[in-house]
Amino acid sequence: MLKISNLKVSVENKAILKGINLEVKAGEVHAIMGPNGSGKSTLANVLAGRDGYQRDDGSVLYNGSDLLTMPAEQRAREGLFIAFQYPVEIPGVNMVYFIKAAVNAKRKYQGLPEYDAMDFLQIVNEKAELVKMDEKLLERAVNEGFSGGEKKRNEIFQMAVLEPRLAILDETDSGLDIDALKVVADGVNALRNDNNAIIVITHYQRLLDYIVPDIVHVLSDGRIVKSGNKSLALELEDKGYGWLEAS
Amino acid sequence: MSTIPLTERMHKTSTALPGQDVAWLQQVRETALLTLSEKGFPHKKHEDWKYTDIQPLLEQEFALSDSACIGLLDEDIEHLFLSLDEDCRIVFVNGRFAPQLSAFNHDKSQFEIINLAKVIDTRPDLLQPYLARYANPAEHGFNALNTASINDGLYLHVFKNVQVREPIHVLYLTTAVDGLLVCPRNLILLDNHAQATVVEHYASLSQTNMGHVSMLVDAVSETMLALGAKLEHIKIQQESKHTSHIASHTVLQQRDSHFTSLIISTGGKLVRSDIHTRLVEQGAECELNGLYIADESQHMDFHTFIEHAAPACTSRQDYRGVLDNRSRVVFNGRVYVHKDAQQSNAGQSNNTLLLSDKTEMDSKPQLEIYADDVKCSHGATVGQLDEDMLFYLRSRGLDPQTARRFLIKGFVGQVLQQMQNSLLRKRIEQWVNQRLHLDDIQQEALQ
Ligand SMILES: Nc1ncnc2c1ncn2[C@@H]1O[C@H](COP(=O)(O)OP(=O)(O)OP(=O)(O)O)[C@@H](O)[C@H]1O
Ligand SMILES: [Mg+2]
Repeated sequence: MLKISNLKVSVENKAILKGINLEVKAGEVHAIMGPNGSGKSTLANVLAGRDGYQRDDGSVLYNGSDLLTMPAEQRAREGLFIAFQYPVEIPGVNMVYFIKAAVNAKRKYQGLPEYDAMDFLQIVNEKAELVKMDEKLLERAVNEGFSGGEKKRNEIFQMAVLEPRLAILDETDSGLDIDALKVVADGVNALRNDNNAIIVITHYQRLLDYIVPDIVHVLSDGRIVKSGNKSLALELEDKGYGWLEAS
Repeated sequence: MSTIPLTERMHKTSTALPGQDVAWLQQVRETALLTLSEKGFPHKKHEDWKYTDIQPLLEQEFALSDSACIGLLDEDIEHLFLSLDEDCRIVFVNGRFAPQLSAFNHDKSQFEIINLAKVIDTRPDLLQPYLARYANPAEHGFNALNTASINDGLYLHVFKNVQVREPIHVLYLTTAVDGLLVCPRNLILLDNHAQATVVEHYASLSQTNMGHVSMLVDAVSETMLALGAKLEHIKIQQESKHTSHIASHTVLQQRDSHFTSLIISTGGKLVRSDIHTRLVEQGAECELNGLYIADESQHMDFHTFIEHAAPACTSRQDYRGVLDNRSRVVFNGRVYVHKDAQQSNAGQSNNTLLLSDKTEMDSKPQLEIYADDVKCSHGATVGQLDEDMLFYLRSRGLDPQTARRFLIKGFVGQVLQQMQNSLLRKRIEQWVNQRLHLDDIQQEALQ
């Protein structure tokens, strides 16, 4: 589904990603861990299509197409979803209108009929229930005045509504209390199937108790320095990253 | 209709004005005329007119309309109604009261609404304590010109303790008449604890194909809010781009009164809008909001002036707008806190979205504070749409065009959503969205 080969990216002439190789297949869950500033969010942003990054080398194939030449909205319509580490507040733009426009843009792209008001209402209610999102938040402007936890939950809510093929969760667990963490994990697990894939970026092993990864990668200084199974996360929790960087 | 260049106009008064036999009114007009001929019209050397050049306007010829309005029917102006069954609507066409287009179906025990010319003819004593007592002709030449030409407009008096629920619609229409001068004069009086919403609405009929038609609307409004009175005043200025619009509104606020003003300017060629509130007794509050949408070569200039003249008064300002093409907008927000006005609280913000790099925005806060125990804040931003917000919307599948439109709509929506009456708000949102070409964004998701 996703094949990243030797990806090198810089920001303002500063190299951040220094040759990433990563392959994610349908049905898999990958976890990416790594110290602050190692490039995890940069990778997510580059995959999402945010401006301001320069690709110096390498390629990204998504379902066989060149991802990096697609505009951001096309990536979304092709089923890519990023739950951002710091979701932006958008005053004045109502949640429901926004989500409806997003879902219908995707459906239109896929040649499906757009949802009418009734269908949409039902889906919104169902997904809000799934991620235990307070419906009052839906009457508000996107993320405006949301608490840290509410913003994270809103990302997962949007993910649930958009039903992506590849979801990348950038520290969605940070700032969540333990109950919220379970709810988010349940939401993610409900989405899991053989046709889609998930990349979880996290600092904490505890999320991985709920969303069990097939493979864990360590990203350090712009490179994946180690990959392993779930036990790698436990080991990292125990020993930190120092032993990897030294090697 | 004989036209006279504005600069010469200052030496003449028309003989067709109502109430020539009312001595005090004639006095008011003559004093204004004298002020005008002594001080003239403002020019760019005046600090308050630095960015707004009215010279081209002064060279043109203008005259008040001397013919009553032509055969317009309700259906010709229906698109400008706030709702199809308006309770109370007073309509003026080219400055003259149009009874056949007006509707007075309100409860007459709540308030009195009459066109000013009629009050002048029949009961001028009603006006004497108020008319031209608040607005100062010396403020600038256009104010003086209006005062010297007082002829018709709104007289509204809301009685004590009455809460008027439906908006009162005051509609000033202009048809395409080259050299037309309209001098609306409005007087709004709210007795103790009265509440009302007034929509002062300026619009043109036939917006297109007008060739070299040029018109001037020179409006003056005066408002007096007595103890505990509450007025929501919405001005919608959506005239054609052949019309210049210069207006001032002076408001006197007594104890615990509350005044909310929302000025929405989307039309006009050269627009100048002044609002001056005087908080003269404790506990008075005002909110002055504005929304400007300018494009092509439109020029708009907004001056607010809030005078905190008594302790413990609050003022808020939120002016925002969207500029495109070569348009230019000025916002000058002045707050003056008198020496005795302790515990004043004044906040001001001005935010502008620029959609083209040829626009110009001049934003100037002017805080003059002579009391020591006050809270004052101000902030201004001028810029393009936020890249992070755009990206967020796109990352969910919205194309850049739609994402931009969502953000613009959200930006202007923040000031519109402060309107309390939801039907009125929807109507006005509709006009604003049409003006921004946003009306096709599907936003009725849950309806
Ligand atoms: N726009 C930018 N301009 C300059 N430097 C940037 C920019 N974006 C990222 N960087 C730098 O790139 C490096 C990687 O940042 P990134 O946000 O990807 O780290 P991260 O692994 O997600 O860290 P964290 O765990 O703290 O979220 C950091 O040193 C950061 O300062
Ligand atoms: Mg990060």
